[in-house]
Amino acid sequence: MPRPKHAEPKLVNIEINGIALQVPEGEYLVDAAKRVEADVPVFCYHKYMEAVGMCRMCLVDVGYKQPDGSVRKMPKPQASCTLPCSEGMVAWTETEQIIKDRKAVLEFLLINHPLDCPICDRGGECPLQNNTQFYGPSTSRYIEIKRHLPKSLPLSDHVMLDLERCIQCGRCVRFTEEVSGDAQLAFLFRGAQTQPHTFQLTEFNSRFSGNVIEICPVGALTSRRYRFRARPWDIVTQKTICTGCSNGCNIYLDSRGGEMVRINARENPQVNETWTCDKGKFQPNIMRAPNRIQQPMIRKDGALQPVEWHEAYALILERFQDERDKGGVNAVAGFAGQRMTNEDLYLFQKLFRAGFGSNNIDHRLTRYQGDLNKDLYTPLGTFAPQNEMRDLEATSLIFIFGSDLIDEQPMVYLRARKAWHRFGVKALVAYPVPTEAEHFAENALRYQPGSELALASGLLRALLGLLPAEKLDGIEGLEKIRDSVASCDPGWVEAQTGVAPGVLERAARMIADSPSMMLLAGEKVWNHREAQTLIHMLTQITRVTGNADKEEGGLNLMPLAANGQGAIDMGALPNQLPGYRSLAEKASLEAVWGCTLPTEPGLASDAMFQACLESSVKCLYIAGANPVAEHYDPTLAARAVQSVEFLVVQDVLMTETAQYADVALPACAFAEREGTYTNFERRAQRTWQAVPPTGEAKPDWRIFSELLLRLTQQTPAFNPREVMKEVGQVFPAYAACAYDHLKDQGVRWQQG
Amino acid sequence: MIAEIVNDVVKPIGTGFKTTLRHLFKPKHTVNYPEAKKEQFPRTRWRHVLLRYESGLERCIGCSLCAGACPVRCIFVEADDNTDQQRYSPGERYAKRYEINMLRCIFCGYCQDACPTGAIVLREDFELADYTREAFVYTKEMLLEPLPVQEEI
Ligand code: SF4
Ligand code: SF4
Ligand code: SF4
Ligand code: FES
Repeated sequence: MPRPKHAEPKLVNIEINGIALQVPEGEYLVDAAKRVEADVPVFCYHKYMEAVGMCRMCLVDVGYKQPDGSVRKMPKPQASCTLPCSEGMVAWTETEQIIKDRKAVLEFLLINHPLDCPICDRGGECPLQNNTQFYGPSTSRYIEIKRHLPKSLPLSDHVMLDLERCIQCGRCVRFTEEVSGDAQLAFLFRGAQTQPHTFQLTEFNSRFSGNVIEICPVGALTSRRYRFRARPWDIVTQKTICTGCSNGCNIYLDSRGGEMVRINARENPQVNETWTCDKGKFQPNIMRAPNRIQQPMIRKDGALQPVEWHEAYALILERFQDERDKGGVNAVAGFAGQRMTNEDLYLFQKLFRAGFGSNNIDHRLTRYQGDLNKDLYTPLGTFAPQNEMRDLEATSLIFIFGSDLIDEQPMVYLRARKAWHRFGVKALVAYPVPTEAEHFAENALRYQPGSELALASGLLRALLGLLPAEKLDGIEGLEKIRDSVASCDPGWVEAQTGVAPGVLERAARMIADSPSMMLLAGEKVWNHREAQTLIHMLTQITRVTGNADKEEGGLNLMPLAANGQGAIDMGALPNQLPGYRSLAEKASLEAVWGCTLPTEPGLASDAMFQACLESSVKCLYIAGANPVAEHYDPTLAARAVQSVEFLVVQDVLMTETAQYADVALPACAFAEREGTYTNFERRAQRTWQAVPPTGEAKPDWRIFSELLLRLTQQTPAFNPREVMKEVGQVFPAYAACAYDHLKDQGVRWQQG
Repeated sequence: MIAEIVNDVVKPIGTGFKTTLRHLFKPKHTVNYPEAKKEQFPRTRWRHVLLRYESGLERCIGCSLCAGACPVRCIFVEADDNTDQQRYSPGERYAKRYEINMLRCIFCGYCQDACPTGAIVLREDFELADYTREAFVYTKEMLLEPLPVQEEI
């Protein structure tokens, strides 16, 4: 059963340590105890995994109220982590018996524990240390020789296993079975030799292996990257978010003396629960990359020479204004990167629109560069994903279309898998080759690469045949839709896509039978040759199945890079202003900015690069992007940046694109500055500065704001907080995302 | 008049010299520093030393507990893995860098208390003056006691 989104939980009356309280029925006693601040120590229990009751650390005394008012106590202590609360439950967490039991459990765990805390990476933040200190015996009665097992046994490039320290809580094993689903780890052997390892003692090969390091309650699983780098009291912990993909996982970034040493997950039940993917957790330290741009540089005599910031600014403004005055507003263009924050993107487009009077701005590296304002993505009224992460648990069918989910959106993958595993949500996958998501999908459509449109049309046609007439009633333009796919019969679809009619029929039936469906569309859609038509087709599928105005269903075209969504919201587009306004609606923006804006639409990225080749665009400003490596057509991008007359590249690293720059500006990496990112579910989330900037690097927004100051003589924004305030003025939906509202967990902006 | 002078001037001077004279024949408390030095108490806490085991291996395992215990945060420890080819201390971990900023140190001896292996100790060398600030950052090489002399076989 999918988890209903707005269910009112039934409350029951219980009593803990004499305090009466109401909790949702079925909540585990160990969690209920937290509400009255009664501390119940645990080892094996983890909030986001099923309780198994393996370690017995969480024992409490429990009784039940009888009809006559007396309390009948259970004869033995109970494991509170597996005990759901029910009406009339009475619990005591600090009785003499319990205190004795905890001591005994800990003494037992420590019989064979090496207690090499001084060299253990967990020391100082170790649940076993803490519990022993608070609840354990001060000395041990055992003087026998301890068990010896391999120490520092590498499980993979990331994870190190110390078998002597393992307390067999099973968290790591359960994680790979329940959460990541790769079932890589298992308990081998029996008795004192029991150990978690891969089945065949091979390498631990998982995309989420870093999580077991964090959930292991002892120092048995440690990070090889962090190994011996620091102790907990050496480091400074800063909350921020990961910018590896558009999921925006909440993380803690730990640094020692200004050097990043590790990344840990930060809990956000709405986004990443408490997980990270290995790509993010073990990301290379970009702050200390050898090829960082350290100071502003100008090309002189064929080589980039360091200069002062003001010289670089002067040159950029001189060239840009010069060319614009000579060749018109189309002689200058800007390309925005999706690694930039909302504030950066907003000021970048403001620099071009208000500063240079040009609409030539884009951020898209994909083949799809159509008009986002056309009514092709109608469900929400805007070109933005419809659902949020936890809708995955509430929907009845997850349709993954053209996305290798585990690679593109690792957290969506985990959540989709959880929805299937915990709540029985069905999944359907359409991708040219087998993907990880197929292992929980009920049905998989493997089609010929590039035939997504034919597949979607075939599905739509089949759906129109299968859906009951009353459901289709009232769908606007139904006849037109029917006509448009009339020729896409299963035979034609098989010829085009290679999907057999039976398979297609089964998939269509799955969709037709599901009360709600969340469509997750990915890279194959963004890069399709006829992406606009394809997105239109997916919209129609969403509409005819009635998901367009559902809360727990809808169409989600997931951005491929960290702030792809923010770039659209902030109007880093040639034909769209911030807040999904068309160019015709520029009046409100003009009022805020105090200038007149161009009406003529600018060039989308392909056209922009083409114009560079034809040298009608003379000056190109690339900020935070590396089109030479990341554009879907790298040759075009490479030729464009080589041939354009004047190229400014502003980035963290000396990328392939920056090699060709005439002016290279150093930008701060994500952990060296603050800002906000909007993730794929439209959630604006804050980042905080964790380490000092390298060299002369400045945050992108400051560079734009300093350029803008020289151009318009208006008071510039002094910090990202002010920029966000201005964004809230021009795009009211973002007013809810002002810094004061964002807190730790971020805010999802809502249209209307 | 004369009686006054004797009473007020000569007598006090005489008394003073008598005391001096008496002390000339008593045992002395001062020493002729720096030529001569006083013996330090056995538990006196001055300059740190990093000790070794008899085998020559370093006692320090780079655990940073001393740095954590230090109230003025003047100790910096950076650890690394021991390998079988390059072994500095018993076990897996050793201190690659070990530095104490002597300008900050208040000689409280907490590091010595915290050390699980008895590696860092405060000993009797109290002559710590120097000319530059940099010279007061004592490195591991400066702190480590010399290798025990190998006896010729
Ligand atoms: S796991 Fe915890 S108790 Fe065990 S050695 Fe490491 S720090 Fe000490
Ligand atoms: S390795 Fe850690 S998480 Fe896994 S069973 Fe042992 S103690 Fe538990
Ligand atoms: S001196 Fe002792 S406390 Fe300090 S790092 Fe070395 S072993 Fe640890
Ligand atoms: S936490 Fe309850 S048995 Fe382990």
